Amino acid sequence: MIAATEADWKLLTDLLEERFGLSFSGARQDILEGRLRPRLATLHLDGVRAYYHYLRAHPGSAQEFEELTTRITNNETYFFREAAHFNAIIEHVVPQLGSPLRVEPWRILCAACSSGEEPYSLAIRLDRCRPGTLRGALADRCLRPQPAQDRTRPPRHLRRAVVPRHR
Amino acid sequence: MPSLESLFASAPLHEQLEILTALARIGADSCRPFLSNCLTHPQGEIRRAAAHALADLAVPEDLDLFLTLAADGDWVLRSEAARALGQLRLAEGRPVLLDLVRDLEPAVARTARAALAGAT
Repeated sequence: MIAATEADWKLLTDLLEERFGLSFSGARQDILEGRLRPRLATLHLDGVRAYYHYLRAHPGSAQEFEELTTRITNNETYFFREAAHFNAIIEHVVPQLGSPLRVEPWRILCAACSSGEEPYSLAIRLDRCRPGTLRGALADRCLRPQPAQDRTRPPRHLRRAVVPRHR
Repeated sequence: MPSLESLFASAPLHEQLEILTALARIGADSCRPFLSNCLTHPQGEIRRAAAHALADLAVPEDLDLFLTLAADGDWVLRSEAARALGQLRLAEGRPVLLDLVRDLEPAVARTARAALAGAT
Protein backbone atom coordinates (compact mmCIF):
# COMPACT_ATOMS: atom_id res chain seq x y z
CA MET A 1 0.00 0.00 0.00
CA ILE A 2 1.30 3.45 -0.92
CA ALA A 3 1.95 5.65 2.12
CA ALA A 4 -0.84 8.19 2.48
CA THR A 5 -0.03 11.90 2.52
CA GLU A 6 -1.60 14.48 4.85
CA ALA A 7 -3.87 15.52 1.98
CA ASP A 8 -4.92 11.92 1.26
CA TRP A 9 -6.08 11.42 4.84
CA LYS A 10 -7.80 14.76 5.07
CA LEU A 11 -9.68 14.19 1.82
CA LEU A 12 -10.93 10.82 3.02
CA THR A 13 -11.74 11.82 6.59
CA ASP A 14 -13.52 14.99 5.42
CA LEU A 15 -15.62 12.84 3.11
CA LEU A 16 -16.47 10.45 5.94
CA GLU A 17 -17.36 13.32 8.22
CA GLU A 18 -19.54 14.88 5.54
CA ARG A 19 -21.25 11.58 4.80
CA PHE A 20 -21.53 9.96 8.23
CA GLY A 21 -20.80 12.75 10.71
CA LEU A 22 -17.90 10.69 12.07
CA SER A 23 -14.53 12.21 12.90
CA PHE A 24 -11.34 10.23 12.37
CA SER A 25 -8.79 12.83 13.32
CA GLY A 26 -5.72 12.16 15.45
CA ALA A 27 -5.30 8.67 16.87
CA ARG A 28 -8.58 7.52 15.32
CA GLN A 29 -6.82 7.69 11.94
CA ASP A 30 -4.93 4.53 12.92
CA ILE A 31 -8.22 2.80 13.68
CA LEU A 32 -9.54 3.87 10.30
CA GLU A 33 -6.43 2.67 8.51
CA GLY A 34 -6.66 -0.72 10.20
CA ARG A 35 -10.28 -1.13 9.20
CA LEU A 36 -9.75 0.01 5.61
CA ARG A 37 -6.63 -1.98 4.80
CA PRO A 38 -8.42 -5.29 4.05
CA ARG A 39 -11.06 -3.46 2.03
CA LEU A 40 -8.45 -1.77 -0.14
CA ALA A 41 -6.87 -5.15 -0.78
CA THR A 42 -10.23 -6.59 -1.82
CA LEU A 43 -10.81 -3.73 -4.25
CA HIS A 44 -7.22 -3.96 -5.54
CA LEU A 45 -6.61 -0.35 -4.58
CA ASP A 46 -3.11 0.65 -3.58
CA GLY A 47 -3.76 3.54 -1.24
CA VAL A 48 -5.98 6.02 0.51
CA ARG A 49 -6.10 8.44 -2.44
CA ALA A 50 -7.26 5.67 -4.78
CA TYR A 51 -9.99 4.74 -2.29
CA TYR A 52 -11.03 8.38 -2.04
CA HIS A 53 -11.31 8.50 -5.84
CA TYR A 54 -13.35 5.29 -5.76
CA LEU A 55 -15.79 6.77 -3.25
CA ARG A 56 -16.03 10.06 -5.12
CA ALA A 57 -16.38 8.85 -8.67
CA HIS A 58 -16.75 5.11 -9.14
CA PRO A 59 -20.18 3.86 -10.33
CA GLY A 60 -20.17 1.43 -7.38
CA SER A 61 -19.60 4.14 -4.80
CA ALA A 62 -23.13 4.05 -3.35
CA GLN A 63 -22.69 0.36 -2.57
CA GLU A 64 -19.21 1.02 -1.24
CA PHE A 65 -20.52 3.64 1.17
CA GLU A 66 -22.89 0.96 2.52
CA GLU A 67 -19.97 -1.41 2.94
CA LEU A 68 -17.94 1.33 4.55
CA THR A 69 -20.68 2.01 7.10
CA THR A 70 -20.33 -1.46 8.55
CA ARG A 71 -16.55 -1.18 8.61
CA ILE A 72 -16.12 2.16 10.32
CA THR A 73 -18.92 1.95 12.84
CA ASN A 74 -18.94 -0.21 15.92
CA ASN A 75 -20.88 -3.42 15.24
CA GLU A 76 -20.04 -4.85 18.61
CA THR A 77 -23.20 -5.14 20.66
CA TYR A 78 -24.64 -7.49 23.25
CA PHE A 79 -26.88 -7.30 26.28
CA PHE A 80 -25.31 -5.44 29.22
CA ARG A 81 -22.21 -4.46 27.28
CA GLU A 82 -20.38 -1.62 29.07
CA ALA A 83 -22.05 -2.49 32.37
CA ALA A 84 -20.52 0.55 34.07
CA HIS A 85 -22.74 2.84 31.97
CA PHE A 86 -25.89 1.10 33.15
CA ASN A 87 -24.63 1.12 36.73
CA ALA A 88 -24.00 4.86 36.51
CA ILE A 89 -27.56 5.50 35.37
CA ILE A 90 -29.05 3.34 38.11
CA GLU A 91 -26.78 4.59 40.87
CA HIS A 92 -26.36 8.27 39.97
CA VAL A 93 -29.04 9.41 37.52
CA VAL A 94 -32.11 7.59 38.80
CA PRO A 95 -31.78 8.83 42.41
CA GLN A 96 -31.51 12.43 41.17
CA LEU A 97 -34.73 12.18 39.19
CA GLY A 98 -36.50 11.80 42.52
CA SER A 99 -40.11 11.38 43.43
CA PRO A 100 -41.92 13.78 41.02
CA LEU A 101 -41.13 11.49 38.10
CA ARG A 102 -42.16 8.39 39.96
CA VAL A 103 -45.76 8.83 38.88
CA GLU A 104 -44.92 9.51 35.22
CA PRO A 105 -43.56 7.02 32.69
CA TRP A 106 -39.93 7.82 31.91
CA ARG A 107 -39.08 8.32 28.29
CA ILE A 108 -35.43 7.64 27.44
CA LEU A 109 -33.72 8.16 24.11
CA CYS A 110 -31.06 5.54 23.49
CA ALA A 111 -29.25 6.96 20.46
CA ALA A 112 -27.40 4.87 17.86
CA CYS A 113 -28.58 1.69 19.53
CA SER A 114 -28.10 -0.52 16.48
CA SER A 115 -30.11 -3.72 16.89
CA GLY A 116 -31.57 -2.79 20.28
CA GLU A 117 -29.47 -4.55 22.91
CA GLU A 118 -28.58 -1.32 24.73
CA PRO A 119 -32.10 0.10 25.24
CA TYR A 120 -33.44 -3.30 26.23
CA SER A 121 -30.60 -3.76 28.70
CA LEU A 122 -31.34 -0.36 30.15
CA ALA A 123 -35.05 -1.13 30.29
CA ILE A 124 -34.38 -4.37 32.15
CA ARG A 125 -32.12 -2.62 34.67
CA LEU A 126 -34.62 0.19 35.22
CA ASP A 127 -37.52 -2.17 35.51
CA ARG A 128 -35.72 -3.89 38.34
CA CYS A 129 -35.47 -0.69 40.36
CA ARG A 130 -38.61 1.14 39.18
CA PRO A 131 -41.03 -1.50 37.89
CA GLY A 132 -43.36 -0.35 35.14
CA THR A 133 -41.95 3.14 34.80
CA LEU A 134 -40.22 2.90 31.44
CA ARG A 135 -41.36 3.68 27.94
CA GLY A 136 -38.44 3.30 25.55
CA ALA A 137 -37.57 5.25 22.48
CA LEU A 138 -35.01 3.93 20.03
CA ALA A 139 -32.92 5.72 17.50
CA ASP A 140 -31.11 3.56 15.02
CA ARG A 141 -28.38 4.02 12.45
CA CYS A 142 -29.72 1.00 10.55
CA LEU A 143 -26.74 -1.29 10.80
CA ARG A 144 -27.10 -4.69 9.28
CA PRO A 145 -27.21 -7.40 11.94
CA GLN A 146 -24.45 -9.94 11.55
CA PRO A 147 -25.67 -13.48 10.78
CA ALA A 148 -24.91 -16.09 13.41
CA GLN A 149 -21.78 -18.00 12.45
CA ASP A 150 -21.95 -20.85 14.91
CA ARG A 151 -25.34 -22.15 15.91
CA THR A 152 -23.95 -24.55 18.50
CA ARG A 153 -23.14 -21.61 20.77
CA PRO A 154 -25.39 -18.87 22.18
CA PRO A 155 -25.68 -15.79 19.97
CA ARG A 156 -23.05 -13.13 20.70
CA HIS A 157 -25.68 -10.62 21.82
CA LEU A 158 -26.67 -12.93 24.66
CA ARG A 159 -23.16 -13.47 25.96
CA ARG A 160 -23.82 -11.47 29.12
CA ALA A 161 -27.56 -11.77 29.33
CA VAL A 162 -27.56 -12.31 33.05
CA VAL A 163 -29.47 -9.41 34.55
CA PRO A 164 -27.38 -7.83 37.27
CA ARG A 165 -29.22 -7.59 40.54
CA HIS A 166 -29.81 -3.99 41.55
CA ARG A 167 -28.04 -3.16 44.76
CA MET B 1 0.74 7.19 -23.29
CA PRO B 2 -0.83 9.04 -26.21
CA SER B 3 -3.56 6.40 -26.19
CA LEU B 4 -4.22 6.98 -22.49
CA GLU B 5 -4.40 10.70 -23.11
CA SER B 6 -6.80 10.25 -26.01
CA LEU B 7 -9.05 8.02 -23.88
CA PHE B 8 -9.19 10.73 -21.25
CA ALA B 9 -11.61 13.10 -23.01
CA SER B 10 -14.40 10.56 -23.40
CA ALA B 11 -13.83 8.62 -20.17
CA PRO B 12 -16.09 8.88 -17.11
CA LEU B 13 -14.66 10.67 -14.09
CA HIS B 14 -13.41 7.58 -12.22
CA GLU B 15 -11.48 6.42 -15.29
CA GLN B 16 -10.08 9.91 -15.84
CA LEU B 17 -8.74 9.85 -12.29
CA GLU B 18 -7.17 6.44 -12.93
CA ILE B 19 -5.58 7.68 -16.15
CA LEU B 20 -3.96 10.59 -14.30
CA THR B 21 -2.65 8.20 -11.65
CA ALA B 22 -1.32 5.87 -14.36
CA LEU B 23 0.46 8.72 -16.14
CA ALA B 24 2.19 9.67 -12.89
CA ARG B 25 3.27 6.04 -12.38
CA ILE B 26 4.66 5.85 -15.90
CA GLY B 27 6.68 8.86 -14.85
CA ALA B 28 7.74 9.94 -18.31
CA ASP B 29 8.59 13.55 -18.99
CA SER B 30 6.19 13.58 -21.91
CA CYS B 31 3.22 13.19 -19.51
CA ARG B 32 3.86 16.54 -17.87
CA PRO B 33 2.29 18.87 -20.46
CA PHE B 34 -0.91 16.82 -20.38
CA LEU B 35 -0.97 16.80 -16.59
CA SER B 36 -0.28 20.55 -16.52
CA ASN B 37 -3.21 21.16 -18.87
CA CYS B 38 -5.45 19.23 -16.49
CA LEU B 39 -4.73 21.81 -13.78
CA THR B 40 -7.24 24.09 -15.51
CA HIS B 41 -9.87 21.37 -15.96
CA PRO B 42 -13.37 22.48 -14.86
CA GLN B 43 -13.74 19.41 -12.62
CA GLY B 44 -12.06 20.01 -9.25
CA GLU B 45 -11.19 16.35 -8.64
CA ILE B 46 -9.33 16.28 -11.97
CA ARG B 47 -7.31 19.37 -11.02
CA ARG B 48 -6.47 17.78 -7.68
CA ALA B 49 -5.46 14.45 -9.24
CA ALA B 50 -3.30 16.24 -11.81
CA ALA B 51 -1.55 18.22 -9.08
CA HIS B 52 -1.03 14.99 -7.13
CA ALA B 53 0.49 13.32 -10.20
CA LEU B 54 2.78 16.27 -10.90
CA ALA B 55 3.89 16.34 -7.25
CA ASP B 56 4.69 12.63 -7.50
CA LEU B 57 6.89 13.39 -10.52
CA ALA B 58 8.34 16.57 -8.91
CA VAL B 59 10.73 17.69 -11.64
CA PRO B 60 12.67 20.96 -11.37
CA GLU B 61 11.24 22.18 -14.69
CA ASP B 62 7.86 22.47 -12.97
CA LEU B 63 9.13 24.74 -10.21
CA ASP B 64 7.19 27.79 -11.45
CA LEU B 65 4.07 25.70 -11.73
CA PHE B 66 4.39 24.57 -8.08
CA LEU B 67 5.08 28.13 -6.95
CA THR B 68 1.80 29.12 -8.63
CA LEU B 69 -0.10 26.19 -7.12
CA ALA B 70 1.18 27.21 -3.69
CA ALA B 71 -1.12 30.26 -3.91
CA ASP B 72 -4.17 28.40 -5.20
CA GLY B 73 -7.50 28.75 -3.45
CA ASP B 74 -7.87 24.96 -3.18
CA TRP B 75 -6.02 23.65 -0.12
CA VAL B 76 -5.32 20.32 -1.88
CA LEU B 77 -3.38 22.07 -4.63
CA ARG B 78 -1.41 24.07 -2.04
CA SER B 79 -0.66 20.84 -0.20
CA GLU B 80 0.57 19.14 -3.37
CA ALA B 81 2.74 22.18 -4.09
CA ALA B 82 4.28 21.93 -0.62
CA ARG B 83 4.96 18.23 -1.10
CA ALA B 84 6.59 18.82 -4.48
CA LEU B 85 8.70 21.73 -3.25
CA GLY B 86 9.88 19.56 -0.38
CA GLN B 87 11.02 16.88 -2.79
CA LEU B 88 12.71 19.37 -5.12
CA ARG B 89 14.68 21.04 -2.30
CA LEU B 90 15.41 24.10 -4.38
CA ALA B 91 16.28 27.41 -2.73
CA GLU B 92 13.50 29.16 -4.67
CA GLY B 93 10.91 26.97 -2.98
CA ARG B 94 11.99 27.69 0.59
CA PRO B 95 10.31 31.10 1.07
CA VAL B 96 7.06 29.68 -0.31
CA LEU B 97 7.26 26.72 2.06
CA LEU B 98 7.86 29.11 4.95
CA ASP B 99 4.65 30.91 3.95
CA LEU B 100 2.76 27.62 3.67
CA VAL B 101 3.81 26.68 7.20
CA ARG B 102 1.41 29.44 8.29
CA ASP B 103 -1.39 28.23 6.00
CA LEU B 104 -4.85 28.37 7.55
CA GLU B 105 -5.45 24.77 6.53
CA PRO B 106 -3.59 22.63 9.10
CA ALA B 107 -2.96 19.79 6.61
CA VAL B 108 -1.13 22.22 4.30
CA ALA B 109 0.87 23.68 7.18
CA ARG B 110 1.91 20.21 8.37
CA THR B 111 2.90 19.18 4.84
CA ALA B 112 5.00 22.35 4.49
CA ARG B 113 6.70 21.71 7.83
CA ALA B 114 7.50 18.15 6.77
CA ALA B 115 8.79 19.47 3.43
CA LEU B 116 11.14 21.92 5.16
CA ALA B 117 12.36 19.13 7.40
CA GLY B 118 13.06 17.01 4.35
CA ALA B 119 10.49 14.43 5.33
CA THR B 120 8.38 14.36 2.17
